[in-house]
Amino acid sequence: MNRLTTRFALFWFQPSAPTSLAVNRILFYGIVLYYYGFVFSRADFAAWAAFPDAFWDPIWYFRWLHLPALSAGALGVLALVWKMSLAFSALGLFTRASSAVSLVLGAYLLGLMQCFGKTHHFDYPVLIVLGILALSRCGDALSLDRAFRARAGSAAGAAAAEVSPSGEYTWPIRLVWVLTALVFFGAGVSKLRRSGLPWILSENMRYVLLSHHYSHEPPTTWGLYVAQTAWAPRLMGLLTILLEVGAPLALLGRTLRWIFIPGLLMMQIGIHLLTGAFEPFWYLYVFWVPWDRLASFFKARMPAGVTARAAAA
Amino acid sequence: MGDPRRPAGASSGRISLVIAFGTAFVLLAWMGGAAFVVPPLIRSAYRAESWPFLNDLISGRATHPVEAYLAAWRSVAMRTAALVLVCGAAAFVAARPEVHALLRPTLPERALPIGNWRRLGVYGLIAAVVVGSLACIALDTEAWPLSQYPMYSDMRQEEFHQTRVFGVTEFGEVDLSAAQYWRPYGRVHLGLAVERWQADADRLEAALSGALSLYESRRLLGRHDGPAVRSLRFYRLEWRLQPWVENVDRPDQKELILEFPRESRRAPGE
Repeated sequence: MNRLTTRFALFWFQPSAPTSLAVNRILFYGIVLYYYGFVFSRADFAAWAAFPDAFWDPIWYFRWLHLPALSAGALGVLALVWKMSLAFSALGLFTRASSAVSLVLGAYLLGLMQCFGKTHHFDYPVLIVLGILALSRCGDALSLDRAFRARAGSAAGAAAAEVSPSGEYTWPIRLVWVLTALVFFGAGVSKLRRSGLPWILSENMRYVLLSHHYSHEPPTTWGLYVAQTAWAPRLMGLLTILLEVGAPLALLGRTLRWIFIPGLLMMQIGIHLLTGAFEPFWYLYVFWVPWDRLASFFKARMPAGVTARAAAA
Repeated sequence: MGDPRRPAGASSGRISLVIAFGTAFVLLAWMGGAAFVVPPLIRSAYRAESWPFLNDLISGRATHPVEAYLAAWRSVAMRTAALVLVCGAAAFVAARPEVHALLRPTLPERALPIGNWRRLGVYGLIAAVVVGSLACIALDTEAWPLSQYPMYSDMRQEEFHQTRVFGVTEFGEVDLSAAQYWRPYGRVHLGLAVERWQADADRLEAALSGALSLYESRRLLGRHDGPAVRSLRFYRLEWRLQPWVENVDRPDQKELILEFPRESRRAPGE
């Protein structure tokens, strides 16, 4: 039992450099800002104020806290402040405050979109990761906060500029890993529970590929070609279930991570190309990339003059 | 006198210069291709005179003019150019040795300990996420932001049906399924409302009345190019799935679910 608890503790709190968490911070907030700032038409938050009251079907904390749908002007201001907080968080400027604001306003704005009778599953993990990063020390490296502290010039500034390896930079990434595994595991279990093996073995996946050409605008017609065969849709269904239900295995080791995570990413990209359905969860996948090892890899291959000058500075 | 540690000929700014010129080159090549190569390809594919796989990408000739495809391409091209510019600028900044010096973390040999209360709090957060997610999966339910992600769990059939909204104009019916008419929400909200509230006439009437008003106000503001409509009609469309979706524009069944406002309730002259 001691060995198990030690391994459990090490999984969450093995000391690591802050580089990976910092890069994940930049990418996550950047991706969220991109999607909700420029891609999703439903992220025109001010427009939700005009939605007829009859559609109002608040989620649980909107009911408990009696949170209203604010006016268009107020929603516009909140949305602007939220997007600014996302940008500040990505840059690592006033990181603690900006990540907290991102979380609080995200809980309201993202939650508001779910209060009109239809939910958007792309949004669910976003709020959880906003919470994880708000409670983490993601601004300790590759941030403007650190740059300003280092320039402070005092002893306190110099001490604050040093960042030691710590479990504080490990647990947020591992928790996003676990969240990713649970998201896909839940999707796989749902399919098996509601439909069983016929989800794989019947014409189901073929009908999925065909029906999206009636209801969506897939970016390609490749799904139609796949649907002409008897075996390809079934193989897709089998791989989908194996990858989703097996997703938690990616937590057990590097080899399994290399199998499941790229597989899930390819699956989601394939779904988007063949059916036009939802965007892949890019903001989760970035947490699986070992950025610190990538940084070391490229640093070792940079010309000696660059690293020497950087070390001397 | 130069820095003795600096190898002869090495330039600390060389990498960032390469990135800058590379980004500029890629951007220029992209914009050139986007402006002079792709539009003729789109026009050719629209006329079905290009390579078959390109012709197949243009599937909405009957409903969208070629200008719509060109406008969509321009939007994609500009966004891609913006992305290339942002990534290039970020890479340029990241490659500067001055930035490395400012942001380089020092890593002493011993790790800083995490306090017990802090560790307990982290375990609490972990437990909340894990237990909450597993509970949703076990109970087959959702509790925002936790979910069992049930999308595509139900079996699809050979008959596909969908509730669609049409607008009644003086010239006849117009399909109002396109997202532009109902942004930021979608026609799905309307279809769901009709399906869920058929037994609650008051709520349904309020919802559809609000939706119709919203459609008209957005039309008057120029937010979409839809026509003025007198009423909304909700149809249940059904298709028998065809291998090459030949019948996508010809549903096998089209059943009127309801019309709002009903004929008897329209103002005189409508």
